[in-house]
Amino acid sequence: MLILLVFVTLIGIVLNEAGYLEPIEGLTLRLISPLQARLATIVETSGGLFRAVRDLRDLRQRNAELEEQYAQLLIENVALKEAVQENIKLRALLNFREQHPGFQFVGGEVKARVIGRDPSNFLRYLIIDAGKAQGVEEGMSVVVPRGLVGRIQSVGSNWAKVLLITDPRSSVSVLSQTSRATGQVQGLVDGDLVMKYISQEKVINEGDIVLTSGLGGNLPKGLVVGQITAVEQQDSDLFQQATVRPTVDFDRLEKVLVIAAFEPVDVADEDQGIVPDADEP
Amino acid sequence: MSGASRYLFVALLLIVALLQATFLPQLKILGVKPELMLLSVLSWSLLRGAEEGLVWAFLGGLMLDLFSGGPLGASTLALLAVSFISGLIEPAVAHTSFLLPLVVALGGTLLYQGLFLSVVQLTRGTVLWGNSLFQVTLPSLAVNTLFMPVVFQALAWLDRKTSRPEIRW
Repeated sequence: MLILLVFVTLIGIVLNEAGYLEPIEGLTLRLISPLQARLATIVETSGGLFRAVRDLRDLRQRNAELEEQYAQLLIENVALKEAVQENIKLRALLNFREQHPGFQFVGGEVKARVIGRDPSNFLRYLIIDAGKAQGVEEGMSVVVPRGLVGRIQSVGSNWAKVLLITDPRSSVSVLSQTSRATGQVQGLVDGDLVMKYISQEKVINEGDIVLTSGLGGNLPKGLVVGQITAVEQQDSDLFQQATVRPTVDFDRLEKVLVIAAFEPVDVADEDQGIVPDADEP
Repeated sequence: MSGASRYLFVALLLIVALLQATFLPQLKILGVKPELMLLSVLSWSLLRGAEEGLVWAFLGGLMLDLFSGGPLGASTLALLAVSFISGLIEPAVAHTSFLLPLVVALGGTLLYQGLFLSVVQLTRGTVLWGNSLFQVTLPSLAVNTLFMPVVFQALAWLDRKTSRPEIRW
């Protein structure tokens, strides 16, 4: 029996990697997702009770409030700094018509509820209750007001799986808001992020905000990814790298937005100096 | 296994998979969530032997894979292997030993996670082996061992309720 079941599983892996099992997977998830959504509601409600018990300690509650305030201020600060940067660019390019706002939702956005998470401790995915029926497609960005959550990895009729930016298999083109140094943010097993391939010529500091650069065309420009908490710089290395703390609290995500369309960054214009070092590795 | 038990077990496995994908992520201890499906499959294999354990491993693994963004078959393959090995232990021994389920939980977690990551490595590429060992596998060993007695006792009760009465002559 073991040999038979292992054989069937191996065939399944091969067929799935070749994409032949998507209809079956889609059908099954379509049948199960209403049940999962119902369970998610129960968990959401019972999760509130859990939190109520845990938050009995006043200090913790106060801490949470302060963190919330800090996040709000951080986001406001980011928006203000971005406005300053845009202003500088506009002054430099007198007749430049603003074609590159931080990001723009051309086709609108899809609100979705988180109905499940990856059962594995090694992978970081979410399952949301929006799919093809709501206009969701593979590769779309998923965000919350605090910042970037991830990208749609696979999609069914009324569900979609989101690869979080904290998954080790995720890679996002980013830039530091203050120094404009570009790099790639990748997930780590412990849920932190690492920003790699930062030019040695750039000065980056702890506390710098990291935003999506929009290069590659997969993500809108200007979404908050996180904040630099440590910098690793060695003269013998080709690049610097930095540890980035994500601004999104991935453990408490309940509702997300899927960006259905956006105006991609024009690489030609970026090369003319709007982002001076837009050299993706 | 009677027909009614069969449906009961499928429903039970579905509930376990749903719990692991919805409720347990909120219950993270040492940064990891307990692997309820792994513990259930290990327990059932100990209680009922390899044959029933393999069926649980196959169905439970498929359900986990459906809810996962990882490669389909990764959990199934890993669960089949651990179920087969733990099912080789004589059920009579498992019923009487308190320590055995804990030892099986330790070994099962190591083997399960190792095989799971190997499939991810083969199909998706990037696996940070060192970080995975220290930040996920080691905490998981502690957390799964902690939860094993609870899961094992619950399934031992289910085993008694669903076993066919022995006819003694």
